[in-house]
Amino acid sequence: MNYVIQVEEMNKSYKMGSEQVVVLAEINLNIERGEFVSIMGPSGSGKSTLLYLMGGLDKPSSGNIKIKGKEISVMKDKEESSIRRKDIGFVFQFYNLIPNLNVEDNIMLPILLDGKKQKNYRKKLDEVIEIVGLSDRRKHTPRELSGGQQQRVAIARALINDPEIILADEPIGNLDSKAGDDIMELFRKINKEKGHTIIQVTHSKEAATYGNRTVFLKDGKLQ
Amino acid sequence: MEFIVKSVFKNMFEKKFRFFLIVLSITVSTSLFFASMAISDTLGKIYEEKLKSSVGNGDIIIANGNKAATPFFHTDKAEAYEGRTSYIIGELQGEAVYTTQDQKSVWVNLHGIDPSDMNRINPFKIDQGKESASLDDNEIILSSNTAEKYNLNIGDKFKLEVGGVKHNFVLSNTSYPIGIFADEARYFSAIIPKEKLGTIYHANDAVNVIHVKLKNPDDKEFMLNKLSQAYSEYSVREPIQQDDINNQISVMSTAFLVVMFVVSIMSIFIIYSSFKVVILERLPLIGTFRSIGATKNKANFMLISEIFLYGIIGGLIGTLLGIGILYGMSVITTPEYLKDIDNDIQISYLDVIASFVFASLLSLVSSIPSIIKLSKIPIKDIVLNTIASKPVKRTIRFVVGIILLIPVFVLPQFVTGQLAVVAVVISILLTGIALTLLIPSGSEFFVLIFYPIYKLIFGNVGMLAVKNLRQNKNMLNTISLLAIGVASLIFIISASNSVLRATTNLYTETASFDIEMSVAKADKKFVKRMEDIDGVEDIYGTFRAMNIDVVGKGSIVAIDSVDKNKLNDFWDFEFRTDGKKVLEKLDSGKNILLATQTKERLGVAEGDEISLEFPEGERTYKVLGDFPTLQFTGNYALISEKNLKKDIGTPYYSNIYVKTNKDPNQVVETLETKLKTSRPDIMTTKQLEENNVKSNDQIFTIIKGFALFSMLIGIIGVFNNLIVGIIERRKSIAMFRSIGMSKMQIVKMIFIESLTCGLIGGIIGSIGGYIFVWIIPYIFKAIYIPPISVEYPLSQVILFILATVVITISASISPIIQSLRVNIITAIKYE
Ligand SMILES: Nc1ncnc2c1ncn2[C@@H]1O[C@H](COP(=O)(O)OP(=O)(O)OP(=O)(O)O)[C@@H](O)[C@H]1O
Ligand SMILES: [Mg+2]
Repeated sequence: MNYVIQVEEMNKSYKMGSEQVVVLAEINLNIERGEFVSIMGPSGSGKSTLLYLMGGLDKPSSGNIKIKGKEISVMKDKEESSIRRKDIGFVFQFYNLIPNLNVEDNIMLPILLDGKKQKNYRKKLDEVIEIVGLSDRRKHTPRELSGGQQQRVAIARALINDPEIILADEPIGNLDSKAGDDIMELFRKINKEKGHTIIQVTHSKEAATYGNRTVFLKDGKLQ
Repeated sequence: MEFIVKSVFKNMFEKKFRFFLIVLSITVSTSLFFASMAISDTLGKIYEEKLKSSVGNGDIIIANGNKAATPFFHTDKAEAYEGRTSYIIGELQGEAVYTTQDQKSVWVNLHGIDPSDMNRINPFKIDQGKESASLDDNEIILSSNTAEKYNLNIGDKFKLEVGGVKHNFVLSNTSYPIGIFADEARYFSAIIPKEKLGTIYHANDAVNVIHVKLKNPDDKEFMLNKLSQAYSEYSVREPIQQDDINNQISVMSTAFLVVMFVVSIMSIFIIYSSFKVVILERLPLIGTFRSIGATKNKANFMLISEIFLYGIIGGLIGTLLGIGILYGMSVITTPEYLKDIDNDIQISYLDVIASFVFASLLSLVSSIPSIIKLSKIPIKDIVLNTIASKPVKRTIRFVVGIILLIPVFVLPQFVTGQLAVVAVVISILLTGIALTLLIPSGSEFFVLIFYPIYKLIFGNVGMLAVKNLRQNKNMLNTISLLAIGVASLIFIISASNSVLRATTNLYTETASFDIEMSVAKADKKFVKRMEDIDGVEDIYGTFRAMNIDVVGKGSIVAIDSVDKNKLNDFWDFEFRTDGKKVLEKLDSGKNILLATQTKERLGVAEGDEISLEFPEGERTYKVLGDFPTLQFTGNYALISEKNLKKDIGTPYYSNIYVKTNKDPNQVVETLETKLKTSRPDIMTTKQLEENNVKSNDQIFTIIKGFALFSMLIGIIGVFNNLIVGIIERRKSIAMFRSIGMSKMQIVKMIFIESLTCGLIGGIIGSIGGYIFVWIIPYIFKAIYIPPISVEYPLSQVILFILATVVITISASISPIIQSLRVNIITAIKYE
């Protein structure tokens, strides 16, 4: 099988003083190339945590996570970083933009970090800014944007590098239904036309219908 | 309330490192503040001690005058005023010759006085020898240096020639080189029983010097008057001119004022940037607090009380540390044998209180901007934690900075006289302020220059680093700290260097003779005879009047006579017009040439007439002009030989200058042997110069050491800032990491940032230093130091820039390590 992400017997717990708080328990989840998966579940069930782990932003307490067949825990920082730059696009629940960079620079960051020439990505930049509808906000810094606009910048940033995998944590949580639908439509298009894998966390049943598989988390366990 | 106090303490314990940094900054600034106040007092004392070492601590000295029939007198007339004095001690001073093993003659200053009396006037300290405090008939006390030099041990017998007759002495004690034994470069001193010298001189019970110390120093004027009348044939005067001391001290206080100013500015920066972060961290708490209905004032009160707590803790430790520093310095600078004489370092309560006030004010002033800013933020933004720092308003600062620079360049040039000091101080302050205001645009300018270079060398990460630099206030603070630090270091170094160089070069640059000597009773005939001595090429004798009052205007420390045919051959004075013509004119009547500083101090202009109070009476002179000179630190004037000789009423030269056509040292030896009986005091210009350097060295070493030490606070500040900067940027760094910035790239980015901070800070600092160096001559002028060439210490500046880079890079090591440890998710979610 052609899995882009494999989660095997994975547990995640946090130490709180002398106690171990189990956040995720015995997770087994395989994501095939080209899938569009929605993760749903009540607040605090561990959705964001799972998504971060799949993107290699944190280490599991036990078990394995493989990205494109390679185990994250054995990767060197360089390799891990490179995967995050090129293969994965993250959209965080709390947008997480660099405050001192403007919209364009924030979107271009993965390109810059990859050491590529900005020039060659001008067209691509115009394209994604157009898609997320921020053409008239290109030089604004994050604090000059609304929450929804910031979220759209984060989405644009996740798209700029044409990553194979997009990990999105409630990507349209702050958007009105029209804008949310547009983004979801865009995700579906990317998924269909380019065959890119998308994993999103969502609370909205409607948003989940854009995907082709939904998994449910409850109390840290897959249902 | 309890909630507030609790949260403040909890915060302090949680963020131990931050707490430590803030307290450390306050501590170091306070201790420097304290030490700089105390040190300038101490330095004044060092100087005073130095002056007093030869004359003692008396308030009035009565000595042999030219008019008296006999050099000896009695203390009885002075004792009529016993009620007003703490001592009246008579002494017989005399001269002797000691012949060394290699048959060289050395002059000896004999003090015929009881050792316990000497200890009251001018304390010395027994190194070796007998216990008893008094001396028997033949006994003599020498300094241990002298004893060692001439290989004399306790109990050794040797001869001294007094008034042509050889007398036997036994070395009973040696003293450490203090008091009269402190300066034995030209001769050495000895204490012998008063009766012994009395017998030799046939003085009976009389003395030739009386030392008087007053109970109340305010009596001085009165007593000078009374004693002058009582001892009308003798010279009754103050041993040291207070003016002289004050002059020296004012130079030093200016230096310390600058150091203190710099220290304060840097501390404010450090504490400001630390508090900013503290407040940022408190935001969620304050937000919650305010959202449930607490008033703004209550929230501010919470912050201010925390800040005061820092101030108090820092002030306390700082003052203690300051006392420690002071003590350490005095231990280092005081030789072993001096330790129980002036053992106590003076700690004034005023200084302690001032330091405390300083610490509290410092923390308050540094935190006010943050608190005001906080008050302006709507609750909504505090609660949602959606405040981001606004970009720096570069243009406004640039304009204001440039405007402030205008008076910096204008004031010192046009304000003269009494107000000059104020003008110069304002200029220095404005330069400091302008510098900080110009730093954002200055940094921007250099960043623009670096940008293409960085793009080429460091690629995209270099560009990112530059972008961070342009926006991050913290790094601007770092640059400001470095710039101010470097600028003031340049300032202090070049100022003290130029003073040092100038005092050193007084002889090499303006003296065209090789030997200077003074002899008692040297008249025209005496000089004529000297012309035939082997090695003497040319010879020039001058008269000198000391401490002459200028009626209604002040006084002049020294007035020398001028032989118009010789002066220009022996001294290189830079007269404003043709030297020959000026001297012709000087000769043509009752004219006087003033040193530029003297002219300014007296407030007279060319053509004005001044009345000088000479011993022979009041004389009116016309001011012919002025000339720059360092003689007597510019407290100096010239009058024609004919006139001065008449006014002081003596046919004897004060100074004799000799040009040689042989090795000057050899000529000195020849002169010493040939003129042995006249007991000349002879030195080569080289020796004079060395003495000069030695006497200034200690003071300048302390000032320089202190300046460097104050850099320490700058360095702490830079470390603090960079670390705080990274804490502030934790989230951004986590962000960078989450979208795939590798650890290497993070390291590279922070490294480039710190490198650039260091470079820009160093460069802007050296530009600021250039302005300071430009001001220095005006400072000298304002405090009546004669014009000296001030040099920009270019090679040191390059070193400073390198040092700033080293500082910023080493300061970035810890933040880099910290930032790599950051847990990406935690940082993104919670910070
Ligand atoms: N650093 C941490 N230390 C301790 N517990 C943590 C930590 N991070 C997350 N948790 C816990 O893990 C659980 C899952 O958190 P997570 O953010 O994944 O929830 P979520 O499903 O995304 O919720 P939501 O829909 O509200 O965003 C929560 O109960 C949270 O308390
Ligand atoms: Mg979540």
